[in-house]
Formats: sequence, C-alpha cells, structure tokens
Amino acid sequence: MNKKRKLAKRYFKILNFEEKESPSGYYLNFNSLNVEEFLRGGRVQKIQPQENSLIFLDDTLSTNERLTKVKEKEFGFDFRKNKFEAFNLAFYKNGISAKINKDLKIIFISKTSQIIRNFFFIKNANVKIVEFYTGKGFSSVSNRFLIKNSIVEHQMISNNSSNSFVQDSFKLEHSRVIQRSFIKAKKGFNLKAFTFDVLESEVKQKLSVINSGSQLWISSLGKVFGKSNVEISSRGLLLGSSTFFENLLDCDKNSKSSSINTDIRVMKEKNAKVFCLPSLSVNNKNCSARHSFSMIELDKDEIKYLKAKGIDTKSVKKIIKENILKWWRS
Amino acid sequence: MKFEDSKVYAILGPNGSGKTTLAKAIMGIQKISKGKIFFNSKDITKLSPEKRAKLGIFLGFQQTPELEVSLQNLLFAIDGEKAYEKINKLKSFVEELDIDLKRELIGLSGGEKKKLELFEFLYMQPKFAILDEPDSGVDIDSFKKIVKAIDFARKEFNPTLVIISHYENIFNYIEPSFVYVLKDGKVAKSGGKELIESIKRYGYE
Repeated sequence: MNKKRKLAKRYFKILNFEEKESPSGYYLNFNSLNVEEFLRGGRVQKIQPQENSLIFLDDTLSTNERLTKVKEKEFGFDFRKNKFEAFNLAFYKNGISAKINKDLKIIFISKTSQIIRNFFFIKNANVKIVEFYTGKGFSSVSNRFLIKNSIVEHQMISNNSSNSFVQDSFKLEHSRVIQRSFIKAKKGFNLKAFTFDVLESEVKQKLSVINSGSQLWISSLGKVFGKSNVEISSRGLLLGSSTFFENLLDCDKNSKSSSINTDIRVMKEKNAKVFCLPSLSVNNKNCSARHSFSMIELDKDEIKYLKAKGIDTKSVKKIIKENILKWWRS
Repeated sequence: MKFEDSKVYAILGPNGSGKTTLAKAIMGIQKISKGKIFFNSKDITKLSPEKRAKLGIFLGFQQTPELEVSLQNLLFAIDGEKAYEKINKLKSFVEELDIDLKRELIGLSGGEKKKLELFEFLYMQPKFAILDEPDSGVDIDSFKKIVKAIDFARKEFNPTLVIISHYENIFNYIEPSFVYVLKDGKVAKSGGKELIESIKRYGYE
C-alpha cells in the first residue's frame, strides 16, 4: 500500500498539484474509526436528536429564495416554518456529534467557508443525510460515520468555487450505505476522499464530477471484511483541468464471497490532464473484483451532430453536463 | 452544383463517391479544401453549423451518435418552451412514425434513428434539407411512413429537398426534378429522373 501511496504522490506532482500532504493518507489507518474517538468529539457539539425530522439551516436559505423553494419541493418540507436554531448554531460553528437510533432525515445547507466536522453514530435506523455546500474560499467538511445494522443514504453536493476538502469516512457493520456525491470544482485545490471499512455490508457510491479548471484529487479507499458488496462508480466532465482518480481497495482474507466493482468514466477536453490509479488487492479466492476506467475526449461527432441541429457549443456542453447530473440523480 | 427552391434532387453514387461528405460540407461539419457554398446568394462557406441550421439548412444524418439525451430535450435546447407547442402540432406524426420522443438516443435501431431524424426534419421545417439515406435500414412499413412524412413536408413547408440514397425505390415515390451522380468526389453525371432508370439498368459504370 505504501508503494502505491508513493506512486500516487509522484503523479500528484506530475499533474502540478500544490505541494500539500494528502489528507486522505490519514484515513488509510482504518482503526482510527472507533466509538471512543467518536464520542470524544473534540470541539464538536454533541446532540441527541429528539425530533422525527432534524433540519440544520444556516443563513443560505434566508438569502436564497430559489434554493429554498427547490429544496422544499424536493423534501416536501417547509423550511421557513421549521427552524431548529440550536442545531443550526452547532453545525455552523464546528459541526456536530450525533447518536442516531431512529429513522431520520437530516439536511445541511450551507455556504460556510469554515472547517466542519460531523460525527454520526447510527444504529438500528434508516437515515437520509443531505449536505449542500456552496461558497467561496477555503472550506473543509469531514464526516465520519459509524453505522451498525442500519440503512443510510448520504448525499453531498459540493459547489465550492475554490479549495474544498470533503472527506467522508464510513465504518459499517451489517448495514447498507448509498452515497451520492456531486463535486463541482472551479478553481484552486479540491479534494474528495471517500474511505470505508466494511463488515458484512453493502456500499454503493456514485460520484459525479464537473471540473472546470481546478486541481482535483478524488480518492476512494476501502477495506472489505466478511461477505460484503462494494460498488464505486464515477462520472466526470473535465474541462481544462487536472484530475487524479485514486481507487485503492483491499478485500481482506476474511472477506468470503465479497464483490468489489469500481468504474470510472470521464469525458475530457483536449488540455485537461487526467490520471487514474486503480489498485485492487484481493486476498480471498472467493472474492470477485473488477475495475474499469474509460476516458474519452469530448466526442467530436457528438458535438458536430448537435451543432448541425442548431445547438451552439455552450448549449452542447450544458446538455452533456445535464446528462452527468441525470446519471447522478438516477 | 445548384439547388433551386422547392425542388427535389436525388444524389446517387457508388460507395465512397463522396455523397455523405458533400452533405456534411453543406452543413458545415466537414471542412472543404476549395470552392464556396452559397445559400440564398449569401456566402456561407465560413459559417458554423449551428448558424447554417438557423438559416434553415437541415441535415438528416445517415448515422447518428449515441447520446444520453432524448430528442425532446434536444428540441427544448433549441426552442425552449416553444418546443411543446411545435411538438404538439406534430402529434399525429409521433403516432404515425411510432416514435418515443422522451427516449434517450441510445441503443436505437437503424429504423428508429431514421424515423427520429425525419421527425426532427418535420419539426424544424427547414428551407433546405438533405436527407442522407433516409430509407436505409428500415422495414417496408417504416419506409412507407417515411415517404408519407416527406410528402407531408412538401405540402406543408415545401423545402428544397436533397435525397441521398443507394436504393432507387424511394424515387418511385418521391420524384426528383434533377439527379446528380457522384464518383470520386466529383459530379460524374447529371440529368433528369431518367438517369435513375439508366443506373438501375447499367450500374454506375
């Protein structure tokens, strides 16, 4: 694993990324995700949700009517009538630490540029968590999930204009997680790290990326135990940018009958740089593993066809972007 | 080559003679090494494909790319909300051609692609349309529907129609005013519809 890490760093340099230590490296130590650490929480404010539906808000909604309406329609919930200011404050400043043992829907909407750390301990519950981040300047969001006997749908939309660090770490036992992330990177250095430690569980990750001129590192690092299924798929549109895809997955010797599938498909413009580092370590003969990576330049025939129908280049790109979003939503 | 208003032209020629290249050059998606293209006395040689389309030039492609987008969404990208109204007017043809406008343009059969291209032709109502092999890869029922749609277009907005085909059969139903035969990228023969009969009998040689 260390050799791979060194190799990754070397290519990181080739792609002209900034000289920064990859925060994802830390998460290679999966033992760091345990209950004790969880409950320590540091500066993070601890909460015990009481409501059936827990909503976190910040000032984005009061200033962005359009977004409010879109989200209200999507979740069938009147944000303006249901503000939980105490939770909002906790989230807005440092993040939260929550023990969840009942069915919940949690929504974060923020344009914060601060450092947020969230810790969730989910047990025997069906939880949906939606995070929506926009904003300028540096921002860092770190989520850690410890999930037991639960079903979790985690959705994250990151639309930061520059320098964002998004790190989601999962430790799963007898659970099912669907994670859908949408990263729109415009400039600066951006990182999306997805790490998981899976015991007899199912993980499905869908990641959509539109990178229009930033240095972006996308990592999926995982270790699989017991009978588990992991499916990681990414779609990207890379426009004049540097993007690094890293998939390092390890099927443990105790991972009987597990399956690992990773699939990356990207479409790039001529001057965009892309590097993909797949690494599957399968230590059990009963495991199945598959990796695929395909990269195409923006299809000239496709563009010519659309232009011949009277659609200009800008709209052509818009259509392609919408297709990526459509895949993500499906 | 000259194409007059509201007339029907047939373009024939053996494989690799340059029929599709000519169509693409007129549409602006194939660069030309020499010569000029005029449309309504305006030099459009350097005009982009989308601008040519907006002037009223249409190309019904012989082969369409696989696209994760439906024809309906493409039409919305062109016309916005107006597309609803225009599609509604052609509702009978959606049923007649048996097409699904909401289906993504992936994994379609040759016949389905042709019918969608033809629907687009009816929708756009161009002044000048090139239909590149509209009859290839279609069954007899679809062929009849395609002919019916072209007839409708001639009655409704009467465009200049250039039909490229390998099969003479289509010209039994849509009679051309003039025929061009291409060979090695050049016009080898031209004349009236009797030229089709001659090709049918003696081939391109």
